[in-house]
Parts: sequence; C-alpha cells; structure tokens
Amino acid sequence: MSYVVVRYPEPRDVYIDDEGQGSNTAASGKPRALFVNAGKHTFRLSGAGVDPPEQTVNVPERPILNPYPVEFRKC
Amino acid sequence: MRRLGGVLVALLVGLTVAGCAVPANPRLGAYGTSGYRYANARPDVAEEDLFVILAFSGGGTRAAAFSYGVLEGLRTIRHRPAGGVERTLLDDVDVISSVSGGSFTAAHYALFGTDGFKDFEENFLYRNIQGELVTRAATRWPRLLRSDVSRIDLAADLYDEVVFKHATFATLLEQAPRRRPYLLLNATDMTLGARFEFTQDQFDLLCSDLTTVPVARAVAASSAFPILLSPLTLHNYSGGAPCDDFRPPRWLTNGLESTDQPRRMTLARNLLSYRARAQNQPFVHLLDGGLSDNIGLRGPYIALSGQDSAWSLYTKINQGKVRRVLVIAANARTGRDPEWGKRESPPGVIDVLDLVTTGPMGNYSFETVQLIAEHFARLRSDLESFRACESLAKDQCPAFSMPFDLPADVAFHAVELAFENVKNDAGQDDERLKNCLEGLATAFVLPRAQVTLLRQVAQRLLMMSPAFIEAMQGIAPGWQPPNVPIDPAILAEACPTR
Repeated sequence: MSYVVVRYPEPRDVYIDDEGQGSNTAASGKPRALFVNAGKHTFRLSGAGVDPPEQTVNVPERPILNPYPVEFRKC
Repeated sequence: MRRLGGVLVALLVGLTVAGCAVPANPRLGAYGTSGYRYANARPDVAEEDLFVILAFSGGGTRAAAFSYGVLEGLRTIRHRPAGGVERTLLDDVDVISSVSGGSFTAAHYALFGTDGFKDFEENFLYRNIQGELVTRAATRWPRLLRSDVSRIDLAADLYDEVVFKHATFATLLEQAPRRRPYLLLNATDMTLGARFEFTQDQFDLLCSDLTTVPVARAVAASSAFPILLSPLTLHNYSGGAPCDDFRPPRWLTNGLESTDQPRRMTLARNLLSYRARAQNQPFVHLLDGGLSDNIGLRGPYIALSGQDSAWSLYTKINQGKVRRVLVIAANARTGRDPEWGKRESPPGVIDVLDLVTTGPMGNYSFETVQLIAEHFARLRSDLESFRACESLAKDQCPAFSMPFDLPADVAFHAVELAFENVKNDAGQDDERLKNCLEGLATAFVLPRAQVTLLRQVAQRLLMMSPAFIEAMQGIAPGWQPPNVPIDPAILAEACPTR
C-alpha cells in the first residue's frame, strides 16, 4: 500500500487508472494525500491546461508521512 | 468418519456416474457498462457512507445456517444514521462475498431479502438437499448418459427449482432499488487454480453475457465439491466479433506491468489469460470456490487494498464516499478430530480424504483473515501516526501545519466469527460447545436442532465480538449488545454428548 500527493497549481479532480478519486486539494486548501496500491498507475487530471495530459508512474511503497509526489504543470 | 461419513453414499453415486458438462453461458452481444456489476447493483452512492462487507465461508449446510444466523443478527440491530431514518444494520450491507455452502445464504438473501427468510429455512436449511441430490442422480441417471449433462447440472437444476425459483442474474439486477447487497459468488477455475467470480466484469473476459445465467448455476459452481460433484463448464468466447472490441480496464494493464508487485501482476495475468487462451482452450471448468478461498474474502481484500477492482474501496474512500468500513467474516470451519491423537491406529481413508480436501482450505482462509486484519491495523496505524505527528509538532510550534491533508478520516473494523471463539455467559471459552460445533458434518443436510443451534451461535458470536461491539459503538454511540442465549433444549438435542 502507498500514498500519493498529486500536485498541480490549482484544485483538479484526480483520475487513477481512469477512475475518479476526488480532488487533489483538501477543503483546507492543502494538497490531499490519496490511498493507492503500489505499482504502476496512470494519473491524469480533469480539465484542460495540464502537462503532461497523463502520466504512468511506478508508485513505490510509501508511508503516509512521506507520500509519493506526482507532479503536473500548468500549460 | 464424522464429517464425510454422511456423504459417503453420495460419493459412491457420484463416482459411479460419468458426466461431461455443458456450457450454459451465452456469447455477449456487445461490450458496454450494463450487466451484473457493482455500479448497477448498488446505484445509490448515498448508501456507502458506512460500507459493510459480509464474507460467508464454505461448509455445506453448517456454513449456510451459520451465515444465515449472521443475517438474522444484523436484522435485529437498529440504528439511525445522522440525518437519516432508522434502519437495520442488515440494510447497510453493501457486498456479500461467499463460497460453497455460504453461497446459498448469500444468493437467497440478495434475491429475496428478508421476505424470503422463511422460504430459505424451509427450502434449504431444514431440507435434506443431499438426499434429494442422491435421489435425482439415482432416478435420472439416463440423463447423465448424454454428453451435454453432468452431475453438476442435476444439482444446479435442483437448486434452481427448489431454492432459487429460476432466478437469473437479471433478477438480481431487478433488486437494485430494494437496496440488496452486491453478490460475489466465488468458484475456482481449475486451470488457473484461482478465484473466479460470477460478475459481468469477469464474464467480459470470456466475452459472455452473465445476465441470463441462472443464479443456481453459479451457486452450484461455487459449491461443486471435488469428486462429489463434477466441475461446471463455461464457454470462453473470446476472439472474433464483438469479442475483439474488448478493452481491458487500465488497472488491469498497469497491474500486468507491475513486475515489482507480484500479487498485482499475478492477478492481472490470470484475468487477462482468459483472452489469450480462448483459441486453444475455449472452456473454463469451475469447482468449489473453497479450493481457492474458503472464506470468501479474497475478492473483498483486493477491493480493500487498492484500485485493482471494479468496486475499489480505495477509490470510494478517496472520493470521500466511505467513512467507515466493516467486514464481517462468518467462518464455519471445523476442527480436527481430537480422538486421532488418542489412538495408535492412524485415521482412516475418509478422515484422510477430509483432511486433504479441507485442510489446505482452512489454512489459507486463516491467512486471508489475517491479511485483512493486518491491512486494517496498518491503515489505522497510518491515520493515527498522521494525527499524532501533527499534534506533536503543534505542541512545539503552534503555527505548524502539515503540508498535506489525510485522504479521509475513515474507521476500519474486521470481525471474524468462528466456532473457536464461542463463549459462555461468564465470557469464558465454552470448550464443550466449541467441540460440538467443530464436529458438525460438512453435508447438505443436518439435524434440525443443529441448524437452529448454528443460527443461535452465529448471533451470539456476533453480539459478543469485541471488534463488532467497537464498530457498533462507532456507528451508534451508546449501543449495547443484547444477550443472545443458546436454547438449552436445542443444545441438548444438537450436542447429545455434552
């Protein structure tokens, strides 16, 4: 098991393997860690202006206090 | 001799009659999102705040009666969710995953709800199904000479007529507005030695339509105990139109490439193998689900521990839909005969056969229950670590704020109900009752008193389970479990040597 934080400059819905996982941002405005099982997953965000449009990463086992970062840029 | 002795006659009948199975699953017309899937069986996401999963083990009528007692116990518990109307805990059950004997109870409840309880008692629990199976095999044996009929077909026909009233998976889908649980009937694929579930997600891999398949056939496959019953055969249509249109879900293709995660990779490889081997192996032969998972928890474990499932709990938690997860496993496993170690002469052939066929199942079930318990403990520990770390940092530096938030504040509860945990009113182990329960036969007939005893024991175990009480006090603060006594007259009749 693992945890990821999906980073993007503004709130967006996160899709892991095409399934919606809710927002990347908590109600507090901070990034929100997400439950994920370790191994390969494809990440994408809702809406336009996201670079890359999607990315497949091999998520390592991570404890909750050190979630694996998945970064998207605004374009 | 005590457990399998009762089915010896059926075994002899079974061994003397040959049979080949016939595929009874039609080809899929077109790929889509319809059919018996979680999203179609449980369309109201508002139902998921408290997510309850029941797992019913194998063990013939013993398992069916024990799991039925769990349903009865859940029905007696009433609570009122915040902002909602009063309901029973049975109304909150989202998924029932079952194997073998437990599949009869699971499927009947999913089809007929509590209105069908009385029918289930009459038509299955207190009925000599085993005797009727033997009678059918004896009186209809000429039918078995046909190449398209097998012993499992006679069993499925009997279950279809007397227990499930010709219901199909389309009938199950029609129950969705009545808040019935999603049913996972588990069998074992003989070629893979792996779990096979009767859902449209699995049937997509065979390019087959589950909708018109009788529920009784799935239950028959789930309870096709080796040798006693022949395997149930399905056709794998993969290949050609419209089967070539199939696009595997992303989690499946990514799982296949997760070489550093052997469990994920093996699951994906097994599932995708149905596509690869359809040309050379167009048939899938299914046996008792207990051979690959005799507690029915493997499917839920996959859903509870990642995104590799059509009803992933990780996804539902990330979406903020699920706040509390409660898993209740009704494990009707029996113990080994304590007399074995007291005699110099070794156990006989029937005892050895019993151990060979059920021993590994029991060991594997124990491991699966432990997997869930450890997984929940890890999740709880992670969430507590996060909060403790934040609290500690704030003590030193009040302005501190964690750089990210938790995915959700979720509570996890795993409850295993097993005979070995039965206790007396003083809270001490009830060894004599335990020994009686662990000595009950694995057969599709039990004396009435034993069936009634199993129902009472299940409710008693549920209400005395510390893990269940903890879960209930979270669901309904202030809840106190009722005392569930065992009727002494039933006990004396069911366990005469006590």
